[in-house]
Amino acid sequence: MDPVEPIDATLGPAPLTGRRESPFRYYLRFVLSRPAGIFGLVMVSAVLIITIIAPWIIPYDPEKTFPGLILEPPSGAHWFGTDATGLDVFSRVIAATRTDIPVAFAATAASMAIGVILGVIAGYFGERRGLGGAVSEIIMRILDIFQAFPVFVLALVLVAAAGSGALNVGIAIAFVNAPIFARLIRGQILGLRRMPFVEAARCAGGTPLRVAFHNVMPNVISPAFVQASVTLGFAILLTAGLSFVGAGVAAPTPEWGLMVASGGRHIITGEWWPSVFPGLALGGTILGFAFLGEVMGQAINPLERR
Amino acid sequence: MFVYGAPILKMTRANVTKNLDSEFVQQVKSAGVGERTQLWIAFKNSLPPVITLAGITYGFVIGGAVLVETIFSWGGLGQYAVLAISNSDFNAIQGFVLVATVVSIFIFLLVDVVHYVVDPRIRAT
Amino acid sequence: MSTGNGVVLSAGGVSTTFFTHGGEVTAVRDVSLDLHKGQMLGLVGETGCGKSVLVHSLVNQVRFPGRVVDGEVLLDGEDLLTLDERSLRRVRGRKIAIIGSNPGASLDPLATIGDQLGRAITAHEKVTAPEATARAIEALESVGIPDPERRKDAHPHELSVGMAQRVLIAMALLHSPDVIIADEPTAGLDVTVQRQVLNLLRRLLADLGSATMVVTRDLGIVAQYCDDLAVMRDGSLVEHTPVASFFDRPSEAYSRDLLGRVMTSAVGESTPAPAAAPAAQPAADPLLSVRDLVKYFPVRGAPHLKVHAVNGVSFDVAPGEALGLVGESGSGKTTVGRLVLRLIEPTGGTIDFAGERTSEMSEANMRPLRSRIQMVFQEPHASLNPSTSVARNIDEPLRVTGMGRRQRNERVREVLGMVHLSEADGEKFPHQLSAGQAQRAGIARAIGTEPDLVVLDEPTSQLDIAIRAEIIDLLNEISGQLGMAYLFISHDLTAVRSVCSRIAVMYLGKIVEVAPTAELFANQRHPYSKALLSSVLYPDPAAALPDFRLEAVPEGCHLHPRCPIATPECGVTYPPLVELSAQRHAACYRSDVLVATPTVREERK
Repeated sequence: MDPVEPIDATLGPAPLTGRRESPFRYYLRFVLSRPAGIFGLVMVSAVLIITIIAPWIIPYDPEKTFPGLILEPPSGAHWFGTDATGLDVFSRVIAATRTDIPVAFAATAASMAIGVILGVIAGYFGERRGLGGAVSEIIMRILDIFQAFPVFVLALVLVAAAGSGALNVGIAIAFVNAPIFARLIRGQILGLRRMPFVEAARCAGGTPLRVAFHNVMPNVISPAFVQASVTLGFAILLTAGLSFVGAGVAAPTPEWGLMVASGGRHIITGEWWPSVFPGLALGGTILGFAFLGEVMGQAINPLERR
Repeated sequence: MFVYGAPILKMTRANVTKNLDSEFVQQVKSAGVGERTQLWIAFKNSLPPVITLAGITYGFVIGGAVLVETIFSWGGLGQYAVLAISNSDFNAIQGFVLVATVVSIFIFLLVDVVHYVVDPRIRAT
Repeated sequence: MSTGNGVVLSAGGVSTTFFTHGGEVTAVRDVSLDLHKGQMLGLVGETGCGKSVLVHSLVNQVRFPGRVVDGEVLLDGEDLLTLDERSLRRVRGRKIAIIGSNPGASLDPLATIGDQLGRAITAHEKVTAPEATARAIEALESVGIPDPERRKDAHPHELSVGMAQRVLIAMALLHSPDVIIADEPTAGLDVTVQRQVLNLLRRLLADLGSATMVVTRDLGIVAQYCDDLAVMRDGSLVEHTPVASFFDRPSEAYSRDLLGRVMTSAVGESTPAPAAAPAAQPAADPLLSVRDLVKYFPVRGAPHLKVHAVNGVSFDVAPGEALGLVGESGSGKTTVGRLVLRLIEPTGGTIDFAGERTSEMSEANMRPLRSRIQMVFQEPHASLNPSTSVARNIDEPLRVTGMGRRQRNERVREVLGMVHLSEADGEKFPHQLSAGQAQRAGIARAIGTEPDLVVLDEPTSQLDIAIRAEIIDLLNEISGQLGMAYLFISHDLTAVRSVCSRIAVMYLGKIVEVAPTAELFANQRHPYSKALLSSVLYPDPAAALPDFRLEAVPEGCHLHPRCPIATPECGVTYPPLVELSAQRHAACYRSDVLVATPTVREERK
């Protein structure tokens, strides 16, 4: 049957049909065309800007206590009140971006790098004989082992084994998410590698590694970036979640999950501000990344586009 | 745990929509078969990826359980694990990991079995 | 309306528009046509002209976001375009049925074909389950599917494409509909299977007396099977006449153009192979020498079974010679091409290229040689890397030659010119090119390194007729300029004929005949070549092709179960490829018999 070409043309680029404009502009246009996308973009931009300018907008040192001001309700001097140890909640909520966001970004970048490299190798050499096939098989089995553990449990165990602290939390999150990227990329490449253009690249005399990374990888990298925006939100949640249960960043470092956990016990007695404000910041940030990732996922997947 | 149902619902919907537009459903439609049968065919064909997603969701449920039990001080496996970690009780941690992992592997096995039943193409290989 | 002079279905002023984000696209524009009882209308047009949308419009089943915006389709006094879904369901399958174009995708992958036929039966008739099963078996039998009792339990992935197409036909004919519309029913099938399917369709239709419309891109099919012909272009019917008068005197300029191109490419007498002169006698040192090449593929899930894709193939290609390798899909010809390029590893036999034994080289040693053997692929768009520009694609093979960047850019410009693409085309991404342009880019990439040999793997089979001729001309032009050798793999004999000086015919993994082009076309010394050239292979569907995946390759001569001149000896041992005269070889015990019988060329009287 005839492909109904005019329709395809209006849908914008699918991963393989190529692109009519630069990918960045396409995604921006798509994101701005949906309410959820605009919300996500605004939230994410706001959080990123706050992260950058945090040191200049916080009114007080986030780790300096006000001995006389224990669990003060929000006021003109302390917008979000103070917590049980007399720390300024507003300053801490703002300063916490400098803990959560860098950890999440670094962890996501690391997991994406590891995942993409492993995924390209596992995908391009997978289900073949010889050294490449064996390496691919080993990679997949290791990923299987990692994925057999539930995500949060694995992160808990890694942090428990390596000790708490921002760096270890970041490493744990990177490990937990790398298999997701690897599988995503592998799946895409398995679908692509029998395409004639891959054989053409071999005919052109490229070494296997060059064909895999130079010719094939650029065609599957967009989905990885989309996945990254989902992973970022998830990484923030994990950082906060680990700290919340006491397996992450330790007090008095400002961190949202930690603040929710330590402030939570005062909710019953009516002092809601030490936990609710960081909770809102956390929820808003995650929601922003989730919405952005969702809309970007739609942009890349023609199936969900209508 | 409605939170975990949402992605599954979404994926099912997306797949059914896609399959309703597929050539095999259009073919059935042009043979005069009723809408309910069309929907059933589309649904059945959308099952395999949904089952996989449902299996993966288990991991998130466990993670969620850890948090929820801590928040509400429910004495469950999750809270036990958190306590074990803050007390550096490695035997308890090992036990928790073992249980979580065995259940996880069992669920993946279940997913594979369901795939086998649903999809004749997998049965062939 | 539907009673007068045998008109069963009458469409008037049908227009269909797609409402997309980018605006409205009218795919079908004011089309009117009648289908008559017992007659077959052929609807031809090139890809994207709106043929398929018209088919869906006629049954009021246009897919979102398209809608029939105007017109009427009268069947049995009812206008299908005004009926609601419920009434339409009553009509579809019972009074009007569609045979889809894509048998692989048109069957539910999770249900057995028996169940699927059963669904179509119970949609219109109240029958019990055992009755439905019996009817399904009967239907499978009527379309010539062997062993229907067993096959009814098969899932679609276990069927060959030809078998799946038969199932779709069986499904369409279940309720003896008044109107049958076949949307490119043979698009994905081999030449010989195409004939079987069409003959089957025609025979069944003669029994039923249904009004039929066949949508196709192949004028040959129309000429042979249809009573009337409609030509569609850009959504409109530009011609609607009886077939005979069309071929004599097409009234519309576009139709004349279409017909003219088909005729020249089909007859092709005026263009003898240009490379014939230097290749008349094989040079002392062939450029490519293939001996006893064997390739087995393991069968998934059945480790003890093997598919003999290539089963002992030997041939030479002289420098500058164009050798055609012809056969149906499944004959192993594409596998031979891929083996020559070492894209896959041979199971046995040797390949020598330019005096070096490439079949035993390591991948790393092979790499420097690759710039001397290049390939042009079947799917023009899929063979270009979508993430880089056309120029970068063409540049890719040049990178290993050690040329500097500036020199390479110069070379890319040069080859773009040679394939008649502009520099601006080079800046584009592959998806912005038409199929013909993309294939030109593919050719440009293959010739950039000035290779000694270019393997052409069905370079024209995915293109529209008009574009095919252009590509063929281009290939001739380039070999004239650069003097490289071609290994031209195709099932399209007319294409091979105008490019190659020598042709090897393959059947089920073996070369059955090799001959200079002119001699092969004059007379064939192997029954398979004869069948391939006349394209009228054993019209009886009961003598269907053995299904590759289910049955083993026959003992003795692979062709003998289908061969009209087979002797008992043919079923015992495979005939050797013997020299009949200079440069002529055939593998048939009875090739002498064939000299007497002249070729039946499929041409218009």
